[in-house]
Amino acid sequence: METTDLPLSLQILRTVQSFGKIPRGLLYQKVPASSSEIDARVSELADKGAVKVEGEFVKAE
Amino acid sequence: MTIFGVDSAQVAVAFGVAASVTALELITSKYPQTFIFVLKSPWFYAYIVIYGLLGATALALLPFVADQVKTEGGVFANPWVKAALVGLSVKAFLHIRIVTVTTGPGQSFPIGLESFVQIFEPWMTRWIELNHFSEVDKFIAPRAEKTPDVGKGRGLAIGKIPTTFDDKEKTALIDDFNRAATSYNVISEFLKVFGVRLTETAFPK
Repeated sequence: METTDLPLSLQILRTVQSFGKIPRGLLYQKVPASSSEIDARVSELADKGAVKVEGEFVKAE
Repeated sequence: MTIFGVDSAQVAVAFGVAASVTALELITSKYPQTFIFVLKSPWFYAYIVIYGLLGATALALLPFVADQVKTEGGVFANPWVKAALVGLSVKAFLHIRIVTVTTGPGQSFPIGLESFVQIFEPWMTRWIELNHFSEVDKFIAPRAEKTPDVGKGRGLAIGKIPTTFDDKEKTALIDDFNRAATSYNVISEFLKVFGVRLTETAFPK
């Protein structure tokens, strides 16, 4: 299945997991949503411990 | 019976393999969870038949370009294997592009063998997508009507996430369900991830 067909938070998680550690700018390019929407989802995922934010990078936990 | 000197049964093999590979590629790349809806689209069958015919034509015309294309020895010595390999490779072969010409913002046109494919493929895949969308809508609408409350819809969806699902993926999915504005959207997200059968169980009509 193309990752872009998945619901957004799951899509972000799988993209981060496939890279292991991804710069936020690249995540914006990989996921077809606005940067503010991606930021909101990443924050939520980080709060719940699904990903980790390290400066400009998003890491898979 | 032969077609341009090639056994018609071998041409049929090239047709069948090319059509099957095209069907499988489209289903597994774009509609893995909802392929049942694609199978209802007449455009899907037209699309795979075109690639089947292109595979059959490629095999039938192979003897005419034999001096340019060497297919002797090894597995190609067997005409049945040759027919299957031509069927397998025709789609990839037709997607060769030498350069891409930008025709406008966000628009481009490939130059190469893919130019020929552009005559029919984008148009047909668009119709397949529209037919798929229509079937998905028919599937979701009565279920959303039965569960109009978005809170209840989210609860049903979250309750049916398989226990074997990874915790982090579960967290992401719950976030997706909680952000869905309507029951219709919750079911749509659930369907994308879990497919038709589990959606029918979670949201019966």
